[in-house]
Amino acid sequence: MGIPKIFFSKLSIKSKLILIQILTTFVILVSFVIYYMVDEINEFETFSLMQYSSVAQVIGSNCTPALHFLDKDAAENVMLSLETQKYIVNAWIFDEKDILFAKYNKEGYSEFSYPFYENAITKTKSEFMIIAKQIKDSGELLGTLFLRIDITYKWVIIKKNIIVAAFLLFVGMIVAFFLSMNTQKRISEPILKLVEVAKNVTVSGDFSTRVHNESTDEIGVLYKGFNKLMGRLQLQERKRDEFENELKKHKERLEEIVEARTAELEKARDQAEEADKLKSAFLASMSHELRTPLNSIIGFTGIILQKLSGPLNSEQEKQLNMVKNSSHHLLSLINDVLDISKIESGRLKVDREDFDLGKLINNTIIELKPLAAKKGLYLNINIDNSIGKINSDPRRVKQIIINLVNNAIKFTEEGGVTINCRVENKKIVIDVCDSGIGIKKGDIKYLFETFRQLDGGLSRIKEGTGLGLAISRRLAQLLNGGITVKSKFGSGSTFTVFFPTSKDFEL
Amino acid sequence: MKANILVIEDNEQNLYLITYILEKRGHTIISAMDGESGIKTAGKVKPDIILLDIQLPGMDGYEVAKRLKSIPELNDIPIVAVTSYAMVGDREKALESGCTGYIEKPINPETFTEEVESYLKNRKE
Repeated sequence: MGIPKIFFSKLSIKSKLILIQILTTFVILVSFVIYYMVDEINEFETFSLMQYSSVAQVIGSNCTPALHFLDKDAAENVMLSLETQKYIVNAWIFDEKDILFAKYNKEGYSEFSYPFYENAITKTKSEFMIIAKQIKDSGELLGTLFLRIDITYKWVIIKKNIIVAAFLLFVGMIVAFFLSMNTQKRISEPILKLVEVAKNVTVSGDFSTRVHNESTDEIGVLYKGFNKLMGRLQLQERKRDEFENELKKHKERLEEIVEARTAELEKARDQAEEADKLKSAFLASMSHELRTPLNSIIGFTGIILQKLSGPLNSEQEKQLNMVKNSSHHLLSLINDVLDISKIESGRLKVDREDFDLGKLINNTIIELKPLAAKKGLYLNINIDNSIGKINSDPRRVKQIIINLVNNAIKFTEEGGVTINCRVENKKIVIDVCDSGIGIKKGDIKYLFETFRQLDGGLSRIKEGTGLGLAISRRLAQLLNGGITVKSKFGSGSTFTVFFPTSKDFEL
Repeated sequence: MKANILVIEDNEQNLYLITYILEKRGHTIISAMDGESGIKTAGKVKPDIILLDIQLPGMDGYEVAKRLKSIPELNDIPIVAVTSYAMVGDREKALESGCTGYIEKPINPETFTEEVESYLKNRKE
């Protein structure tokens, strides 16, 4: 029963209602037709029996004289009157001793050898009906008349009836269909209307939609429920809209505030950038302006010390050397300030080229040898031979080495400075180790800050801008590397600078 | 190997310093205090080498170098920028403008003459 159930559940309400009504009508009509047919057949048989019994009665009484006189011909003459009866095909008369006395066969029907029957027995077979009638005269049994009747025409009548019944059934079904079409509308139409409205609401989202139905049945209740639901949804929608509006207002206000703040910050940033640019421009211009007179000072001092303009006595030479040293110191200060200003304004760029690092270190250390020698310090170099050419900025590398070695010499009174250079995994590592005063643990974090010399008594007397390490670290970072430091207070420090052998490698 | 050297320099002291050092070595110095007169003088005397300050009143040194290089009879004279500009790219800018060399100020009186002479030598080779 599964499939019909599924089929039925898939039908629309309209189709279900029509189907139910038509099925009901069909069952009623078919039951009626079956009853009518059975009744008709019974009626026909009863009627046929009565009709042919009276025929048998008439023929029997007409044959009474012939039986009295044993006149077979007279009896058969009487029986010839059966010609008018269309369906009586054979007739027999047996005498009182049950011996065949006379017979009748309809033209076109073969003689039918009738088997012996009990007196006055009436039997029907599917095709033929036998009627037996005793022939009596004033109570005396003379013989028995048998009629054999063709009743196949019964089926003709039944067939005709079936056709009529089928036609009536068909008409009845059509009438039932139209009637059900009409009646189903009363139930399904309001439901279909509600379905349509619900569909539209789903698409349009218009919760102000209402439906009207006067009936108080379940459909009326459904309509009322639908309207109530719509009302609730409408209310919720209104609340949500209000909430959204509120949220939108808040958002707009927040955006306004953010915009205003952003504008303020942008203004402040622009001002800061402008100030920064002005500062950098000022520093650049100042350092240029400072260097022009310094050019004269260093130049002329040099000329006089070269004795190009005449001889000097020893005191004059000593004092002029002091002028020379001071002016060189001043120059390095100016250079440092210029460098830091360039670094901080992001305008210091790295010029990469291929160069021999070992050669560069050697040449740099040669320049610094006199400084170390003056303090009686050794200056050793260990360079890994496998380094060869690297790609970096030689001027910046040199600047870093000069800064670190200068510092090391500056803060070392005994022993000396050792420079170790090696390559580790495409990374250049240069250690500058000194046997100087070292750095207190807590002070290491201040080492790389600008304009800061460590307050350690001794350092106060050291000349320098305090920018050297800061500049060196920034330069190392610009080369994609860095500087680290290890130190033990009182027994020396090791500054390690590292950077990649080529810009293609990240550390 | 005595040379005629044109020095274009607006600072009197620096001009005097350079002149003094180079004359001591036997070179002949012709000087100009700004770009315009420098170009004129160069056209007149056809010096062996030109020392050019970059920061000059009016036309700057880069422009002077470009003009000198655009004059056919002067364009083979080496020009050496002598400047206290020490920003990154200054050297490149000077070389792009047509300068042969670049000496940073403050000059080193002990090596300056040799540096200048090296540019003269290069020319002769």
